[in-house]
Amino acid sequence: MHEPPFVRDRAANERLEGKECGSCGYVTIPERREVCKRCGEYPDWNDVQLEERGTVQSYVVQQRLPGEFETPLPVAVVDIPQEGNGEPARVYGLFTETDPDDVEIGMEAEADFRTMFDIDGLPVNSFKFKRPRGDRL
Amino acid sequence: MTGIRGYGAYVPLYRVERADIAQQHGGYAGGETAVPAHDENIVTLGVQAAKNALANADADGTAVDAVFAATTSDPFDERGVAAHVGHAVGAGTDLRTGDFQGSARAATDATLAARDAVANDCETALVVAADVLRADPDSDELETAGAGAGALVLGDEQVGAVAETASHTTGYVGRFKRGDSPVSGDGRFNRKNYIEAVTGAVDGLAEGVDHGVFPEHDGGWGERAAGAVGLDAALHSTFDSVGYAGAGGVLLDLAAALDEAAAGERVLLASYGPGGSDAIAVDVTTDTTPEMTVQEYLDSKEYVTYAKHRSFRERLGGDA
Repeated sequence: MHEPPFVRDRAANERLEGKECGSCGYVTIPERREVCKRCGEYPDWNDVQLEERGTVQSYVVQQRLPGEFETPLPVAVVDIPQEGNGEPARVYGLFTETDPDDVEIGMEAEADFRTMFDIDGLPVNSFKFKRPRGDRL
Repeated sequence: MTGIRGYGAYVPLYRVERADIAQQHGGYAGGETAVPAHDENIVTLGVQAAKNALANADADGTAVDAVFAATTSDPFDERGVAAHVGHAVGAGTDLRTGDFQGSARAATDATLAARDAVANDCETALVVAADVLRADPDSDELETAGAGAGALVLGDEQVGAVAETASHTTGYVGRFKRGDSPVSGDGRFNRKNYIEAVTGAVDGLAEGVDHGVFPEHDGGWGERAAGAVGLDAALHSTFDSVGYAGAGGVLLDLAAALDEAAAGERVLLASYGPGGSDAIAVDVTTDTTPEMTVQEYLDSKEYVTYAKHRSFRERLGGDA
């Protein structure tokens, strides 16, 4: 098995466990850093649990992508709140099962556990965003 | 009695109308079949159902001491499902696991194993059953090869309890599948052997039942099994909306019954697959449903064309 990078990031990728800067409160996921990207300190990083939802801050619709992607594909910058207080994490994420016409800035998106890609046929699962299932009732 | 702390289900968003499949390959078929999205597989389906069940149980993953997973459609000989569901729900590294496969009956194999674990030294056990069935384009199974998942959290008696169980093992195979090859053998029901296995399991448990669940890989047989044992109960099946979803369909249909069952009522589940049948009687103690009921999952859907449904299945390939 040649998947060490994904093994190390599995808590972030499969459970949305983020790291919060002990100095300025910036939340990073899935990257794990020594230096805080925002304040430049070498802080203690606290574990934070993110919720499986977020708010779309901006998005584009990709029309031409390699075969393993569904196109047209909305990709978005999404703020994911943490459980409890503290800043949301800002992430770049793929949408799934969502008509681009249904995506708008400010919308609430559900984060769903899906296959991102595979390694030699072994699926690597993480989160994608989608229009909430309950909205389709 | 082992308690049921929570339950949940999951059905993919997409559906194909069986008439669209019949139009391509001949024949006539009513109803519709659930189609997984290109980025769904048995692990992601199982995780969705598990999270719904844990939320219904008012528990988080750290409460889970054991995960027992059941499927008939794992494309991997070596990988497992239970450990990956456990990791995704945050069950911790001291987790016990069990993977049950080889028959739709695996769903009740896993449930009975979880019951035994809880009766022993395991406080909370998560049972997950998920299936994404594959079928060749021109096979009889294509129209009804569905996808779905269900989950149970066993432990405290919050929602109900496993009241009585019985098994009937015949060794009769019927339907079987070799590796990646299509379904062979008796893809449709062998009436005599189905009735024998299921009635053998439920015979002693048929009294005082309010809701019956007889997951089936061909339509209408649950009613005949219920009739054969004289069961006077409301029957619950997702076959017309989801199709046949193997072991996943067993716990999905159970969830559909639990959604409807009121406190004080009894639900009787009889699984069936190669090898035999298990019957499990559940006494419901609390009126509760998960955030999304099975009916809501069935109602929130999007139809795809025959071609798109095929492309989703092909992308699945051996990599589900």
